[in-house]
Amino acid sequence: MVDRASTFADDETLALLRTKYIAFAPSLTEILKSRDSAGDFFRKVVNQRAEPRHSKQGYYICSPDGTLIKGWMYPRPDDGTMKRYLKEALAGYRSPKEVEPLDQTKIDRYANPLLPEGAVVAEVFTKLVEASWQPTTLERFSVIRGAVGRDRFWITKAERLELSKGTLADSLLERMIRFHFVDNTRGVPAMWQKGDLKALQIKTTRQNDTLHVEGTVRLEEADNRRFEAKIEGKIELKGETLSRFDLVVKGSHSARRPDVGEVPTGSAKLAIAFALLPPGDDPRIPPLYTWHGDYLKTDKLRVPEIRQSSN
Amino acid sequence: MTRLLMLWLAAAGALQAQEPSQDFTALHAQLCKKEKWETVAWKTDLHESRAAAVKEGKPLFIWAMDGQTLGCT
Repeated sequence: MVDRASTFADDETLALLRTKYIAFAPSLTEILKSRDSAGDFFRKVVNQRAEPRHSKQGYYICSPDGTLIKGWMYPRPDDGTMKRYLKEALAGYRSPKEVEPLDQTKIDRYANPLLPEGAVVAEVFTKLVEASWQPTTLERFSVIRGAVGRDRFWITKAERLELSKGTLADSLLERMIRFHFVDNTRGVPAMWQKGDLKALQIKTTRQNDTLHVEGTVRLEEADNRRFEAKIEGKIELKGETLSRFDLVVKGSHSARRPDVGEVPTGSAKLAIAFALLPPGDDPRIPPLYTWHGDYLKTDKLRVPEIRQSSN
Repeated sequence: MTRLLMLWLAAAGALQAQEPSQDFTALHAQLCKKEKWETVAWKTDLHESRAAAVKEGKPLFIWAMDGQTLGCT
């Protein structure tokens, strides 16, 4: 997925997907385990693909009755295979006249977590803006080194109400730091753990409906990651409605263990930006770490204590 | 007059201090960009996808990756 920008770079491929297909993009881990009819249907489709055996990641073209037409995972980055398969599948496609209905009364919430009532969704963009790498001839590495990591961030109703009073709630800061101040540009990184937050300074200044945020953060994981960054933000509210949530975090990031594939040599500059989800975008796409079950529990990083002692 | 000018300069300085830095503005714009793959109307609900495929007589294209394909990493 980290090379999605190159996989879907071709205009004709995108036009085929927009006009000739119904495009569906689930979270593989969750839907594979989903104990409902959507999970059953998905497993029926992907289990028809013989290769590769080690993973179900990849691309599938199927009929809505669940008959697999094509399924593949490689090559990545795509070498034109995607467009060729899209065209081949269309050439022989006959839409089924009848399709067996699926039971929609039971939905496994593990695979489909619900946005809490009154919560707001922000998008998170992550990029290594400066980094040194070992030399490589692998095209895939060259592509993903410049990739933008993406995620979603939930701001709960209580946190939104705190913002309307000019306060950044500790819970909001903890969720943001623990799950989103990470380098997710080349895969799924580990979240920060208890004891990793070493310093946090946050200053907010209110000016009419605008809240200006300035701060610094320092995170350290024993014998592995370190992130020391500045935080700057502009948040706007109209009453209790959040109309802008622009935040940028930028600083030095280093890691010894390559838990997200290769790591840059030495210290890199990691930048993270937050912005409200634009109207029309699907708010049902959940933050990555909702699978963990702790996404809304914010008692691990000792934010109130660290925030107080750092100021 | 001098006093007025000084007050105006002080107010202008305070306002300027509230404005985001150039680095912030540039980085935010640089990072928060939609990419080409987002021009496809990706669906995230299997039932909705399947119903649309039946109604429109189109095949389903499934893009499945670890993490949320459209949202994470």
